[in-house]
Amino acid sequence: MSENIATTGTPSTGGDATQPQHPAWHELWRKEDWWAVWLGLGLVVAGYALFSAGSSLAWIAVAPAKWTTFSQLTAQLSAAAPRYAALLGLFLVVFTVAASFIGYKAKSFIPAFILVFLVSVAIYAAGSWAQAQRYNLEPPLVALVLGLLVSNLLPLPEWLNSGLRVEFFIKTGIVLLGAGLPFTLIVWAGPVAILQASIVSIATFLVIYFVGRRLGLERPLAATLGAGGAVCGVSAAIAVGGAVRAKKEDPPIAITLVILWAIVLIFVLPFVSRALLLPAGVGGAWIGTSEFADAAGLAAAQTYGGIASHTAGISGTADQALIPYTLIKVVGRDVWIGIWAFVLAFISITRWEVSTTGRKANAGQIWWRFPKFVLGFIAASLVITLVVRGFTFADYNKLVKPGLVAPLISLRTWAFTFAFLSIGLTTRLRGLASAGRKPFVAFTSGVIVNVVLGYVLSAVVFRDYWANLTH
Amino acid sequence: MQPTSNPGVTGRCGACAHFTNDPDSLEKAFPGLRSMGSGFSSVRASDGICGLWNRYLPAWDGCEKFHAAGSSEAAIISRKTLP
Repeated sequence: MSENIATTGTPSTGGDATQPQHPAWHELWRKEDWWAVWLGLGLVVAGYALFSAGSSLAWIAVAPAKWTTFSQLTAQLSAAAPRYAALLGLFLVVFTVAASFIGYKAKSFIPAFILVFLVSVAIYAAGSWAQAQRYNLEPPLVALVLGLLVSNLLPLPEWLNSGLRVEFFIKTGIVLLGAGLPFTLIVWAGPVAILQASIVSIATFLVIYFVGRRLGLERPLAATLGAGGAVCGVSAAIAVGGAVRAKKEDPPIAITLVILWAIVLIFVLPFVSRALLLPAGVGGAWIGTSEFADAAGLAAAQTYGGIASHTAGISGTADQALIPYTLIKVVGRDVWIGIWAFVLAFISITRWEVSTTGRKANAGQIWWRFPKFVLGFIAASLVITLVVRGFTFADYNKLVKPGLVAPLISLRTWAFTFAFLSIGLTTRLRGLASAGRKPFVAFTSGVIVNVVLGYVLSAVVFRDYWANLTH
Repeated sequence: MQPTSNPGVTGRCGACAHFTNDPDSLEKAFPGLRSMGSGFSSVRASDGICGLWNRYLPAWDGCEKFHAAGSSEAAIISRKTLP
């Protein structure tokens, strides 16, 4: 029934506790965050080893090229069939090994992932159609809409769930994304990202919390909703829900509201950004500040990057949308979840339940709840930054980019595509918990503040900064 | 009454028969969790559901109703409290 403390090695706050049966490092192979680090960094190191030996991951990191006619598409897919088979084999092996350690059902993971891969190839190919942009067929949106339609209109077999690991795919992709980001940029832009994200997070939390309290919601539910809207969506809702000892029914309410609004914003933020002709970096910053879950935000940011790169009047490339997004969302918001949980646990214990409890807020949770994949993201950036240090700019473009960085970007795009498809396929609207009017009103108040304040900071206050970040 | 670590507490939730925190069970108990989150993520730490108090709480909490997992009573409790 219980994985208990045994799997996480988290020590107790009280002297009455049973001792953990396994040390803390047990977590290194039991949590998907760490596996995202091992896989992402493993691919970066393998890529570097091949590059140093005069070879490259480029052969296996295949992706559909632009095509105009269906016969062109079938010809290129046939010619590259062994490379696609090898890519599937690579992902299948590394993900299945990870799955078996983490505790996913590996037996059903394999067929489910093969299906996810094949559909992802079709989505990627559709996005490479020369007319795709004309019809807004951005791969993240195609993956999401297709997944939503299938999962909500057709009965899906239970075994398929094992291969739909949104968070695992997205975290692995984010670690790989670090490989395309100079470490100096993280150091330089990190403080601004943290400042902007903190302003919006605190304002959003306070609005949701106090509107919720005004409407009569209990404090733990109001705090769980506030964290879901302010920090990192579903992940924050379950972290803070646990920290404040929410009722069992509270996290599902927050999860429902986060998912519904996150899906709405995946479509709204990129298209409003386009209507306002926001530079790619500014749009990415806004999405990073105002979207909720990492996966949803990446879908929106990648969509806007795609739109920006081919729309007249909008400056910037796909990466120029993704980089500010990632800095604000991951560095500015995600990494602080442990602090939020600790502070709210402290308030919960000392103010909300002071008469009935003698618990202590456990400061250890700042680390236990830390999203460890961020360490992989930073390490990947550091590794590639050190590698390219000895190259001139011309050699970087001629050798390092095609031989090392571009294949890692391709692998990252695959990981994100798996995640976007999985979001759609796992979002079964009928299965979500009913949220109720009061939580909806409280959360929506926070969404409005979040979106408006995020826009003001990204597109007005720090506009030049985000627009020119990577120039 | 709330789960606490007051004197009289005999064990932590993480070792209690009333407590469920295996990721699969949590993903079933919290609809939508696997859609934009995960029961297997670090942020969850070792939190789980206490079937006795109907709360979602950390494994390092405890209360005076602690029932060691694995006991014969625990087997009955676990059948009743699984989501």
